Amino acid sequence: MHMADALLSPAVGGVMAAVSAAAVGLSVKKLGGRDFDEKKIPMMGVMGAFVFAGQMINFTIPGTGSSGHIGGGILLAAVLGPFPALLTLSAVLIIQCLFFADGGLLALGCNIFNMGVCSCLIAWPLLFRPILRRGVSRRRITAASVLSVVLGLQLGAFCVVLETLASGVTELPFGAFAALMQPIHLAIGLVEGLVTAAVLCFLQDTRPELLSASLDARRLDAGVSLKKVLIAFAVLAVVLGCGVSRYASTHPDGLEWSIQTLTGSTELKRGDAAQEKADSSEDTAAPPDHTGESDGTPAAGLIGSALTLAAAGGAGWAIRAVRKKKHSGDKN
Amino acid sequence: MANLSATMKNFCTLEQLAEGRTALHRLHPLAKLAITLAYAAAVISFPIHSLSALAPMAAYPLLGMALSETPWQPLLRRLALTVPFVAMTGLSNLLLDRQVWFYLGALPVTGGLLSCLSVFIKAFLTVSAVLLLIATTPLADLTSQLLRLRVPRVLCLQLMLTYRYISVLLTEAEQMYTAYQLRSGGGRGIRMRDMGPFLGQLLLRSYDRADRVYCAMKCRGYDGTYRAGTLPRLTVRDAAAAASLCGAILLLRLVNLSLLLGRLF
Repeated sequence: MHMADALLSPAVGGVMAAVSAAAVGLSVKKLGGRDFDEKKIPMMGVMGAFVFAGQMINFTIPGTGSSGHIGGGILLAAVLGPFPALLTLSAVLIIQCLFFADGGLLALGCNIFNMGVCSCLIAWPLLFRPILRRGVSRRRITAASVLSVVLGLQLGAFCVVLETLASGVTELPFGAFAALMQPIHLAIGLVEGLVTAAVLCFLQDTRPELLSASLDARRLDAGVSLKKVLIAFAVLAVVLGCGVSRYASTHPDGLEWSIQTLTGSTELKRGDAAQEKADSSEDTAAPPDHTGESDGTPAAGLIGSALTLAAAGGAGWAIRAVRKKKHSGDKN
Repeated sequence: MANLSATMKNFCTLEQLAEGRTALHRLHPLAKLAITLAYAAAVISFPIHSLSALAPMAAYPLLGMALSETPWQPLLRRLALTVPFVAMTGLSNLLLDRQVWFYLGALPVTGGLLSCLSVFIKAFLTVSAVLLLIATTPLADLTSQLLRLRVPRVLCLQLMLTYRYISVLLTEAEQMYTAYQLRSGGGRGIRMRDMGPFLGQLLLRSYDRADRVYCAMKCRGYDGTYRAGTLPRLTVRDAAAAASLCGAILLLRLVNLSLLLGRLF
């Protein structure tokens, strides 16, 4: 479910980065509060590595022949508490982005929100904790895990749909895109929820104190109340939803828009869909109503692209060849 | 498990690459971070039907990878990871947007084809830019730089610790997996009903290890703060390199070099 840079517009990437930075900042503030436990730091580091390794372990799903792996958000929140879990997941996502290109640098904000905030700061306090607060049993653990993992994944998948649509890179209509993403993630969520439940039941049997520590509300909620955080996120989501979609529809491309603002041109304000398409594509090729063929724009674009690529590729190849020769010369 | 050992190998390869001594390796982490961010932002800011304007942007990864002696194999592996979701979006554009924009000879070129190719090229460019960053900068330097940029200490420490312990826990997981395979008579992956105890065991081992790590850190004077290694200062040369590269990126974003060149013919 990692968002890729290629599917984002700078505006959406920037807004989501700001939102995630706020969530991470809040978590840091919560963690460093009055009862800061320095032991928590190495614990979070090792648990982050655990989630990373856990995501690599595939299990076979009976009757389907396919395999799955855990996401780990709810599992981490259950063991560490929601705020440390968000920080831990953020670190894992940053490492995955840098070392595996799982998601991109500019998509980090989206990914931290979709996978971290949705499960640790929304699904966990809304479903997981209330269900287990009144007593912990295998049945309750299973219900809490499945429901919260499903909710977290559904929210995350929905955010992916919204972010991609707001970025304006897909022609898929909202309904079809959501109808494609949500059921797939419902199935994934059910399976992942069951596995998370199995892990937590195992923990409950062997080390019950691990689970109860994070459920203890007093230690975690001193300072900022989760309810306030949730309300803030809801308000933010609505504001951003309206803002981003309006921004995306009137200004298909942030940089172009800012350049036009600087140069004083108001061309983009016409809001006519066809004209927008023409505007956004002017630098590549002319749409049918332009005289694309007659002025030779597509052909010029093609020839020019081939030339620039050949020049860059050739230079790269030459550099490599020279270096190789130098290295072999050094060895002799 | 192939997955686990391939992951370990990937970490080792990138760590070795980052120890190189080329000009790009020597560039200050802040300069590289700024260039990578500017480049990625410029690439994704192109409108969805841009193709020719995107082509000159490939110069950065092509030249950068050659200059830093970064091999191509890790890039291809990374692309394979990114492709599924990008492909879904790209191909759906291809199917849904069938408006013909122009003809190349007898071949009709639709808006969908342009946006599909554009998404793929953007994926290639952004993925290679991040690879170039991490293949020329050790994570410790990046983290120290982030710390200097006032990214919260806890998050930086988290990054370093997680990174350090990934290899330890991957080895642990691999041992457990081998043991499981030997007892369960082969087969691919782990049965879903065994997953609870398996991951639970791994979690408990991680938890206990964290305890030991904490004790070891405490013995060496850990008091909850993160002491980063010293980074060299940003020199004028670094700043000039970053500024000129960012300028070039901005110029390529504003001027369609391909079109200008093509019109000469």
